[in-house]
Amino acid sequence: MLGRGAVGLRVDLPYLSLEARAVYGYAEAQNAVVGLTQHLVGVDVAALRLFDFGPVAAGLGVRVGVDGVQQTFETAGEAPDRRGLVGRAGPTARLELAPAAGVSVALFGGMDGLIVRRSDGSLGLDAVPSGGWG
Amino acid sequence: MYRKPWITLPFLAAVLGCGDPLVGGAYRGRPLLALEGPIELPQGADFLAAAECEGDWFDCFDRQCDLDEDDFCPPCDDAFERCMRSSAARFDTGKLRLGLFWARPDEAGGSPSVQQFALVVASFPARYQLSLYAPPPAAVLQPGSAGGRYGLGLLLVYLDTDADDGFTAGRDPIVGGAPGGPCSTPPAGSMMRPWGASTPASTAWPSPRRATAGRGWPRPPPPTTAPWPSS
Repeated sequence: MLGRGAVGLRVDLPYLSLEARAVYGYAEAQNAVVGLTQHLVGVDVAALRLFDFGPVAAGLGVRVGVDGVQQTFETAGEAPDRRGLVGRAGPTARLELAPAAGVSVALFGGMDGLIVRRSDGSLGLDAVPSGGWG
Repeated sequence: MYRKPWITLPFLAAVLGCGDPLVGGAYRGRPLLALEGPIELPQGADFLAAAECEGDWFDCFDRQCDLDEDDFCPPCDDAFERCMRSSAARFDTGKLRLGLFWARPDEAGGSPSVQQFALVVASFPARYQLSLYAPPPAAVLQPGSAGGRYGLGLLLVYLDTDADDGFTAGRDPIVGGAPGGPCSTPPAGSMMRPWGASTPASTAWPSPRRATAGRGWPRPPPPTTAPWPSS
């Protein structure tokens, strides 16, 4: 089971829209040995260039953020809890429909590059698709 | 001046990637036990192919013959011979599995052991690496004379003939094992010879024998491995 939600604010400037969000995510996974539960709390900001086509707006932008991740495990063996910070940055695309003033429905998606610490201690970059609606 | 971003970015990356290394859904925890060693398989492709054909022989036996009367079933023996002669019966290494089994201490005469999940990397027919991420099930632990509790583990190589990624007693033939462990003999009633035994020259193929449930597993010799800590 997994879920992710965000609340945020957006400021529309003449040529640019700036968005800030607080993000929470929850995920569970189970394999033959371990049950994993993950909580994620993060913040991100995005700069978007939107174009209006009547009630529809579409645009591209860049989003950067940082997430605090806590992982806990259920096992008969040994698997201590893990806590870490993950940085992310990547392009994002947005499609909005505004049927009335102050009301809009948006679809967005992109590709996040995640900066993560690997098991051997090195830093790595993982590409993960992102997206949602709101 | 232009070099500043190249100084700043690695520092920023180090901060954002700090903390414990995070893991994915395949994470199994810290290995409690890691083993590495050779695998011994009986010599000869025909011997291993026989294990493949025995699965069909058992199915045939169940359909056409009576276990109480005799271990031999001429129609099935004929089918076995045909299977061995067909090219499709040649041994397929893709069906080989190395499993960790724990001997049950609580039943006289032994019983089919408990297979435990372990991460195994094997390059048949040469070597294996095994990592165990959980202690043995409580049912297979017994008190040791020096305190603590221990379990007797057997590393056995079997053919996963029903492709369920697990050992099915009476169906998946045991074809080998990892030598040097506490078990020196294969399970009684198993369909194959002990690992390491050579195939008789006079009979290229072993005769299929019925694996009877009551005979179970042999009592293992005294443990030679360190006991598991008491829980």
